[in-house]
Formats: sequence, structure tokens, C-alpha cells
Amino acid sequence: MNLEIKLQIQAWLDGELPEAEALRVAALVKRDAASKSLAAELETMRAALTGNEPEMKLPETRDFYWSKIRREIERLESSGSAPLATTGGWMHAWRRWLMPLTGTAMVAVVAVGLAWLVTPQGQGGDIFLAEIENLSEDVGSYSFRAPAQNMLVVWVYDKAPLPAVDSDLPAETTLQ
Amino acid sequence: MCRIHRCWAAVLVGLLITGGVSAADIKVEAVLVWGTNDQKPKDANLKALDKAITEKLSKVFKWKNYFEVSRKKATIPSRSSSKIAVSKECEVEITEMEGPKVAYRLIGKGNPVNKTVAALTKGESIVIAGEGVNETAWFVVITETE
Repeated sequence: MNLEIKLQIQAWLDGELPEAEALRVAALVKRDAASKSLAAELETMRAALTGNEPEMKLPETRDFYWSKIRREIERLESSGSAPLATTGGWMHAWRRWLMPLTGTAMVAVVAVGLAWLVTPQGQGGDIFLAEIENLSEDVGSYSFRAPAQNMLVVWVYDKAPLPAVDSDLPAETTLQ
Repeated sequence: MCRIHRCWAAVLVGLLITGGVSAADIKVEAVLVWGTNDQKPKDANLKALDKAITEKLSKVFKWKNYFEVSRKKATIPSRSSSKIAVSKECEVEITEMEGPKVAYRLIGKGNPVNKTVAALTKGESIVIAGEGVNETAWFVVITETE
């Protein structure tokens, strides 16, 4: 007996088959011993389940039982609703403000951290590098840092022999 | 949905705040200094250089005496440039750039000479300098004041 026949027998017992199919299965159960045995077994099992299903019986009438529940709910709402609502509202209001504030704080912390990494105080990135460009063909330059003196020095030297003289400086000084 | 919108608004506010901090005006002071091994010449325009800069320069450079030729202050607007004339023929154009970097453009007699882009630490000075005649030197000491 295959699974399909077993399912058909089960459906026949449950009254789910169309009439022609039900007659065919009934004939099968009548002539085939295995099918008959399965049908009897299923029938016994169904009888056992339906016969032993626990039945809850209320000690009072149905209307009175539900009215008790309703009255209890109303009593709890009237006695405890005000404090509960106040606490819940206060917490809810705080959460409404705290969540965006927490987000802002997180962004600020990340931004400050990144800024610290890329700024000189963070000793990160390319803070010790200086980009130097000579804008005149007659001038060369080099740079160095003097950490103890807190200085970045760019020394400009003149490739041309005679630089211009700055009238603001003393006569022996030349500004390049 | 409303909660998500509030979170995004908070993120935007945070970015605006942090962005505003990084893009600030800078206040600088530029001092033109003359360095020499001789005693102070009879030039009324020269002043004694303040002790702090004198100590800095004398520990790095070979010259014995340093004198202040001029001292100028300027405010460089965020992401903008400003020129400081430290003498009649020497200007420094300072540009506040993105991030912590600042560009210093040395202009002599109207001609651009040198451009330096650097990020300075707090209190650090950039000194653009060169040798003059008769073993003297000039220094433009630029320091962020605030």
C-alpha cells in the first residue's frame, strides 16, 4: 500500500472525498485486508482523540465569567492608569530627545576623532610634510622643521647673483 | 519613519557643527626680521626683536643679532586669501585651505617667489627666510595668534 492510498483512506474516513472516489475507496477497504486494517486503526484513533478531549466547564455562567474579566480590567485602568501613563510619557519623552542626542554625540565623537587624526595635534597624516613650490626660476628653496623651537623653516636662496634691494631694510640687507 | 528622520536630522546637525569648527578664520601675525652679526645699525625703523622669536631664531641660525623690521597682524577668512605687506616690496599671501593646511605665498617686488603649503601645530611658526648681502639674513616669521 502506497502513501497515496493511505491518504485516500484517511480522507474517506474524514468524509472529504467526492462520492465516486468515496465509493471506490470503500470498495477497496472492503476487499483489501491491509486497507481495512488501516481504516480500522484510523477510526479507533479518531474515536480515542474525540472521546478524550478535555472539556473546560466554567463554574458560573458564560456572561458572568466575561463580565468579571471586564470589571477587573476597568478597575485596574481606573486605579493605576494615571501613574503608569505619567511614567510612560516621561520615559517616552526622554527617549524622543535622547535618541537624536545620542546620534549627534556619536557623530561628534567620530568627527573629533577623525579631526584629531588628521590635525597636527593628532600627529597623524601628512602634518610633517610641507609642499614647497618655487614660483621663480631664479629662486630655489629647501625646508626643515625645528621641533624644539616649534618652527617650520623655508629657506629661500637666490640662484641669480644679484637680488633686488628692499628699501625698507637696511642698506646691507636684501629681501628676496 | 519619524524616528529615522530625527536620527538623520541629528547626523546632519552634527556634521554642520563639526564642519563649522574645521572651517574657521585664522588670525596670524607676520614679523619681518633682519639678522646680522653686527651691532644694531643706526636705522630708526629697526626695533629690538621680542625675546621669544629671538630665542627661536638664535638657536637655529648662525646670526648673533636679530631686529624687527615690521610686525603685521591679519585675519584670514575661511577658505580665502589675504595679503600681508611686511615691507614695501615684500608681501605674504596667506590662504586658509581645506583641512588644517595653510598656503603661504611669498611675493617680492610684485613677483611670486615661493609657495609653501603646510599644516602647523598650535604655536608653531613658519619662517620663510633667505640670505642677504654681507652675511645678513631676512626672516618672515608667521605665527597663528589664536
